[in-house]
Amino acid sequence: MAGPDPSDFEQQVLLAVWRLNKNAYGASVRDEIETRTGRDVAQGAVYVTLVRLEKKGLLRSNLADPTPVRGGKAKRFFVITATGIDGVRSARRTMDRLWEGLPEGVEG
Amino acid sequence: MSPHRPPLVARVLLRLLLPWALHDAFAGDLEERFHRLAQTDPGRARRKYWGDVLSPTVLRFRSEARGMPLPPGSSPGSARGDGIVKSVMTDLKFAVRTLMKAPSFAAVAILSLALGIGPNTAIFSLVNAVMLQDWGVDDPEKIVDIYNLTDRGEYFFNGYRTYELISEGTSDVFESVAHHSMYSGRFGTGSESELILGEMVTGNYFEVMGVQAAVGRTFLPEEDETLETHPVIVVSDDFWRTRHGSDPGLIGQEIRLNGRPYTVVGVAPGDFRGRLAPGVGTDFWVPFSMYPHLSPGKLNSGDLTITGRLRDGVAPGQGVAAVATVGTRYDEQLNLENPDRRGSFALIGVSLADVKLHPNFDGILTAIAALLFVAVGLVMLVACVNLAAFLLSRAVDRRKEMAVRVAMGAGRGDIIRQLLVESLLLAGIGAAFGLVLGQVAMQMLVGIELPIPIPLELEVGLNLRLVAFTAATAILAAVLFGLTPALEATRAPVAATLRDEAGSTGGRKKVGVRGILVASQMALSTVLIFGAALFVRSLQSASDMDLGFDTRSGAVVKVETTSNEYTVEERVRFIDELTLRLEQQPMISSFGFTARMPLDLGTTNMAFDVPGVEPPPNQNRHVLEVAGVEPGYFEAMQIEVMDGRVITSTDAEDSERVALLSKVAADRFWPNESPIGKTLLPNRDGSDPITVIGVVDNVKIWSLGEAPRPYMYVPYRQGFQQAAFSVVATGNGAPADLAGLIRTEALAIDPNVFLTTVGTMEDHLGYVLFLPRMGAAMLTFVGLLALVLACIGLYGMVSYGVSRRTREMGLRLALGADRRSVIGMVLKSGFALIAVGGAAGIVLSLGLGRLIEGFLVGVGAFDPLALLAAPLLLTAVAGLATYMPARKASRVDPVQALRSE
Repeated sequence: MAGPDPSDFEQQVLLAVWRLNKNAYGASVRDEIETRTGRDVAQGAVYVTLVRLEKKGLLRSNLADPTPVRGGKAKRFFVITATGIDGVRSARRTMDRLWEGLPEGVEG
Repeated sequence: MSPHRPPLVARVLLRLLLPWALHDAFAGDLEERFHRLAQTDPGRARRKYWGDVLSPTVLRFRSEARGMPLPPGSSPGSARGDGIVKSVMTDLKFAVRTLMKAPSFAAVAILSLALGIGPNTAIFSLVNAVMLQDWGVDDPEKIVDIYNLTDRGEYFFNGYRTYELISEGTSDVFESVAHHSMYSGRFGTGSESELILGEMVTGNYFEVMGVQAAVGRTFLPEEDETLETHPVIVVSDDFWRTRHGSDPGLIGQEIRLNGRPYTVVGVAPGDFRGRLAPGVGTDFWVPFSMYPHLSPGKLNSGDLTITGRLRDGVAPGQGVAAVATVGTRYDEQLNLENPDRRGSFALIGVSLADVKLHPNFDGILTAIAALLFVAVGLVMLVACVNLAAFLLSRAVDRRKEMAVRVAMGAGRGDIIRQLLVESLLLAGIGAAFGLVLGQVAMQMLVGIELPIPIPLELEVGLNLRLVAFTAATAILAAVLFGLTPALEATRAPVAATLRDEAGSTGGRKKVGVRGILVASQMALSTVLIFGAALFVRSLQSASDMDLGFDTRSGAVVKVETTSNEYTVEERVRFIDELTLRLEQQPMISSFGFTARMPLDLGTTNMAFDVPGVEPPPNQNRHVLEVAGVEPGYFEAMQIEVMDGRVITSTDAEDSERVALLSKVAADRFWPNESPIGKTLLPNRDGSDPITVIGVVDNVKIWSLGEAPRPYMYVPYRQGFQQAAFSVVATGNGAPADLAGLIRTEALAIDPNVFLTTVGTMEDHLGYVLFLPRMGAAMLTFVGLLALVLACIGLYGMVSYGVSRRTREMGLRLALGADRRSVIGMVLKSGFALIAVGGAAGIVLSLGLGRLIEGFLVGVGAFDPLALLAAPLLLTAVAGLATYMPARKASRVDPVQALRSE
């Protein structure tokens, strides 16, 4: 992929969208990140990141029909693009290279 | 789905912050989580929602949304992503242009708002001046005022003995303890003299208050150590500026106080005006040690306020506790000394940081302030409703404009923001005018001469606090009157509006919303008019009240002889000489002297035993308020003598002591028999008994609202020769002329005698009627203002309705309806609102009447006349506001009307 690797939080968002597979929208992505990482994240941060990643072409979105549980507001679903998958993979490879040769579980 | 909804304000905020294209999806995400959390903990859900809305990341949406590929279904224009500041500036420019295009709308709107906000700023500046002022002392939280706590829970002054006890018993908590008391002194000489308010203070007073002199110095310890040796004085900054032109050379000079020279040693800083009350400036301070000259009876007067400054590291609570302990210990000691003692002694400390004016009055003042704020708040509500109604009909008229803007890509948020900016602009201009109006009103109010001999100096000028309050009021008004129409305006379907399908039916619906608004205005106005009517009735009953003495024909002249240093014999000689002179005046038919006029401030008590009559519980002896009077007093006052005889010239200094009792006093001691000839024993050993010689009618002593008070009259010269006394006179002449005559005669005896008041009985009563008068005047003004504003609203709505129905009217007329039926039709719509609003107003009034009952004299909260007056006035004025557009409607030319659309 072109450009720098996605940031840590961007990776988290991309991976969450990938995992959720067609059921990824603001609230579900936030839940996914919170359950997997055990940390609270702001909905605004998640959403701004989703929008930014879409702008970079790593995600795609479409608006679904409104549902009553959301006060009649439509969901915007996100899916990861091929570029997005390349992005997280590239980021992981970068990290792996940095980990190479280092012992696991020992304090430095 | 849970019945809860996310907080409205947060939702509105979100709308304003987010680009339109992103709003729905994001708000939906938040709402989904909200509902999930709300099922277990609604409070937590709300907090989390707020947290997400206020999170700083929300502000990044606009920049992130820039250049974003838009999915189908969202509007492109609003994602333009310019900063919120820039878009608000654009909105502001646009709002100015829009308002300039509708100048009459803008003028009415601004006037309405100014009238609504004006009274609020006026009342706020009054409350600010009276209740929110600083004392100008250093560390008020380290200062504790010490009061004598009475059986009735009132905070009373202390005697000198208590000061000694506190000074001795609390040195572990207080660094230093001072006392101070109000003292009005006479400055200048002869007819030039002037009564000025000051304080007599201990030498450490300024140290305790933490106040340093601005010029010169404050008192030295030795200046308060020996009696009458240090005639020194510290003056206020105001005194120094206005009377001596800020002349630094004043220090070291002598000024005459009560006829003796006092050396000015210093000028207090401008923000310190003494400890009497904030807003009531004292202008000088003299050492307490000068009391033998200034106020010989001072040591026993029991009118001291004691104040201590806490040591470093001592909490106010500890100081307060130490004070209470001193009180309890003294109480126990008194019990030991006198086992038969009834009653008790208690002291209470109050941290100055908690005192607004005086612990006794803070409660009632807060209540008055609250009442005033409720009244002016209602006026503002009426004004806001007016504006909301105006903007609503404007929004209906501007629907096409809105629809075009939405079609061109503006989001709903953009339009709401635009409309809010418009109402903020209106509110801003209205508030500016309101501020000016409020200031004018306030200056007028403060300009009213108070019927008390001491000038009040209230700082009601513009200040930061006032401007902040006005700004807050304006923003509140803008949101109140701007939000509903803004939300309403953006609800219409775009395509239908553009095709003109949302024609008159939509308009009718908006008139319905306006109808509710106008009816609520009618209700609010009814409440205010009802309140005003109650106060007017209360004033009326106060003025008509039987006070027990003649309130119309008398003249009142008050004489003060302390400053002349008259001895007791000289006072009596002065009275004798004035008596001789007045007896020779044909204009004067009756006159008399008294040491205390009814309804004056101040009192003298006398304690005595009554053989065979037990004192009231909690008291060792009977205590009555007493006034020394001279022969002729009851006749001049026209106080009815009910039994026995009055005081005559035979009741001299050395003759048998005698007294008259008021009716309730006589009934209290001897309910079933004549009190004439009974004795009162002022001395415990039974010496110098007082014989009751007569009973007179009850007279209002302290206030108009009081129950008949037990009272006693004794001959002035039998031991009640007070330094201040009054002459009352009636005769064949205007009361003011009689007063002038007494003045001339008094000055002929001694040109240097100090007459504090030369006036009529009506002037004298002005003081007690002042509050009812002010209350009635202010509420009447506020009530009429609300009514006018409400009628502007009603008029606007009815004429708007008429203008929308011109075509229909024309058609009706063309089909043969007569003009009267058209008028009737319009009137009916107007009167329906008046009736609904008026009825609701009465129901509200009945509830609110209870709240102001405590302020009323002689009228109940459900006064039938007031209840009748409010709806009558409302119907009359509001009816006129309806009739005018109705008549206009009946004059529609059918041909013109049918052609018009």
